Amino acid sequence: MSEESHARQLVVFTLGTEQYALPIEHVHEIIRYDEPRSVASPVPWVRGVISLRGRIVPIYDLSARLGLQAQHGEATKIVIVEADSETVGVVVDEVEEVLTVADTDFEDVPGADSEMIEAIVKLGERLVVLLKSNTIFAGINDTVGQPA
Amino acid sequence: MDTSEYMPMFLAEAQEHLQELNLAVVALEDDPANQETVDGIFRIAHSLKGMSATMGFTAIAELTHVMEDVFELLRQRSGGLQKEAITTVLACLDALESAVGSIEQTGVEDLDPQPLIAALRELIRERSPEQEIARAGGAQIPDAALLAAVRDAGGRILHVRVQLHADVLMPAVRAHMVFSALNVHGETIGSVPTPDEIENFDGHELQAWIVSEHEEAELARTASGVSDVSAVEVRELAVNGSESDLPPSSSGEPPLAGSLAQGQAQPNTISARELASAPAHAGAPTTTAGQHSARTVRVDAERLDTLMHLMGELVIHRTAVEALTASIDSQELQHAVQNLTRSSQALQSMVMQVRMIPVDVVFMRFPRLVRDLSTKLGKEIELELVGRETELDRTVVDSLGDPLVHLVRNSLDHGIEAPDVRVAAGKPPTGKLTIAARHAGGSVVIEVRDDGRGVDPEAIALKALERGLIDAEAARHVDARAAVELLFTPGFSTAEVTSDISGRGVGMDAVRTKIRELGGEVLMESEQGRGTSAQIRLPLTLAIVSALQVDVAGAPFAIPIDRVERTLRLDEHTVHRVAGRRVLSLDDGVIPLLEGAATFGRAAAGAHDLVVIVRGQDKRIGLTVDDLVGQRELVTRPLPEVVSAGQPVSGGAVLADAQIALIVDCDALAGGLIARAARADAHERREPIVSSGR
Repeated sequence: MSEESHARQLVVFTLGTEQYALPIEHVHEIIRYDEPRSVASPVPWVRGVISLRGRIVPIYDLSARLGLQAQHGEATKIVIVEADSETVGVVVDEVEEVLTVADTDFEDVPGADSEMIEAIVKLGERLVVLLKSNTIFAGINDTVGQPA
Repeated sequence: MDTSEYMPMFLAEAQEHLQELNLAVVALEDDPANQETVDGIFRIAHSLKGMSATMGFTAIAELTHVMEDVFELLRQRSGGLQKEAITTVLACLDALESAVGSIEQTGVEDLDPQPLIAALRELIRERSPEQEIARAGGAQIPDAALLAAVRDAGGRILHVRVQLHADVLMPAVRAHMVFSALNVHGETIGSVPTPDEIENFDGHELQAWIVSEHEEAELARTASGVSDVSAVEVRELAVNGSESDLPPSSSGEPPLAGSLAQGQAQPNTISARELASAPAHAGAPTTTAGQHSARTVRVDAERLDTLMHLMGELVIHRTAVEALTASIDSQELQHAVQNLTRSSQALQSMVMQVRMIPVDVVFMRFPRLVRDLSTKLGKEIELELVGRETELDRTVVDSLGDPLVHLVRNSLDHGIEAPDVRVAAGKPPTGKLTIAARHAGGSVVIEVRDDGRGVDPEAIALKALERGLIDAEAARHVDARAAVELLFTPGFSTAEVTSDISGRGVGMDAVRTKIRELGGEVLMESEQGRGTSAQIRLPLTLAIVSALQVDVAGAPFAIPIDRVERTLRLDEHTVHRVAGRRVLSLDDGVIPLLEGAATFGRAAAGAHDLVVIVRGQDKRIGLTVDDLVGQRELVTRPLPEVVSAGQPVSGGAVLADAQIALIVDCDALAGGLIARAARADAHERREPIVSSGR
């Protein structure tokens, strides 16, 4: 709760017309989008798997997860996120920039889905939604449940 | 010194030592006269003591010290251990195990050694008053360090042994008089009994270590002057006091204590390896175990995994190079690639070998387990371990323990009958439990077999009915085979009351789940009245699998080659429909036919005119595919659960062209079929496998 010094760095990207962000410490790397190897997952936002230096990494469609309309195109990227010792890739429409945001610019989000959204950053006219990297993907295995 | 860096090694070694001890003690029970086993126990206890003392775990050190004493005495005489002695020692081992466990979890040893020490001392007391005297003074016997210090200061140490008459009335008083008399000659640096213990002394031999410039004969005269003294022996301790001059409790000390003390004094110079190998060297390597550990190197399991991982990448890159150069017309390049291939394959097989450890690591726990359980259950059981040297990938061995324990508990609890029941059934009173491991092709088979009562289909059917797993109609048709299958059904546990033996809230389904996670399968056969046999079949290694790569609806899949029976063209065989499902009629039988695309949840595309016959759990299945790509060595990688949930795939592999092939789980293919058939009529929840029927 210190007033100044504590700034956070966020990786900002677009999904549809909105801007979202993940804390930079959870972003491992950003790679070009290649169609993932599709799998028949019961989870609708699982796009498939890719191979990342020999590892098999699941790719999640963040737009679908958040209920947005995706606009995948030329600039589409995969953000490799490391959260809770799991490595996952999320598809985003375009990676914008790395923003340094002071603590004071974060605002709580009353009423919003707290499972996915950690805070909102307001920079003049811009609104950037900071996602909870831990819960948004980490708990995903639990939502699948055990196959009967 | 800061010992935290050695903690993982300490824990690993301590657990290993404890396991060896368990084994040795149980072996000793079977063959009490085996001197080699006693020596082994002594050596292990000694190592354990040294290690724990170095790490600052005083309670463990204290307890092992006393255990060591007990075995030291045993080592010196023949006769072996009584049953209650074994039980006491095993209780000590349990306490040590839980102490080591608590160290692992909390960093603190949770152990109160005193009751156990008392019990241990009790064992010796009963047996030999003479040795009890020698041992009782343990704390007061001058240790090697003190002796050395005195000598370094130019002191001369005399060791006095005094025998009292056998019919002495007040040994305590005489002891006191002897010691007081000897005091005039110099400082007493140690005595048996100790000053504190003199009051209760009731033995016949006294010992004292005295720093004195007087002649031996003078001391002898002084001691002889006391009433009831029958004999006195006085000797000067040699400069390099030979073992026999030193009191028993310190005789085993020098090598280990030396090296560890050095480590404490110079924390920077002792390497992890030295710490690890010191205990191994401490005991004379008279047994094969001792020799073995001296020639091996302890490697962090994680490094092995990393090595395997890198090896996997190398295999992938190599395959890519092979593919890229295949079309280039250059003899030299081809030659170079061949060499690369050869070396990398040799490296690969060596890496695999390094990861292989004997299954005995798992088997070791069973003699103790079986002994404890059979005692508790009042059953007589002979345990036979076969194929202990069979080697398995480390990751497999690690995960094998729990399922095997479960099977063994089941056999003891439900399988093998009490002696009287066995006799009534015309069997020998002693039941036989065999745990056998053997290689079978690319797999290893581990069998747990008993000659007990076997599975009773009627009882099983009744239980399953009670638990709502089957309906009354189905219950009537449960035969031996179906009964065994029911055992594996989640929610079925044959234990009426959850005993602490087998009913731990998990059943055979947990065993099967675990083994399947490892890419293996569990089969069970039972003959009522004759016994039960459970077989675990596992791939030798999980990391690299030889597989047939196929194409299903435009995506690569890989079927482990040892599961592929053969491939054939669909149009050359007859396909029938039985109860709405397609079956393939072959010369040697009719097998279910699954459509690849539907099975893996893909939109059908391609010809689907090829069939791969795969061997599932205990039946064959035909799987239609679009193309056969070829045999590949694939490095398997775990799949995120979210990706594989509900699909008959067990993992993934990165192909040479960076595509990802999913590895087909043949048991799940077959299993899904069974599950579907069983529930064909009911409106059940979503099937794990996308329906393949039409």
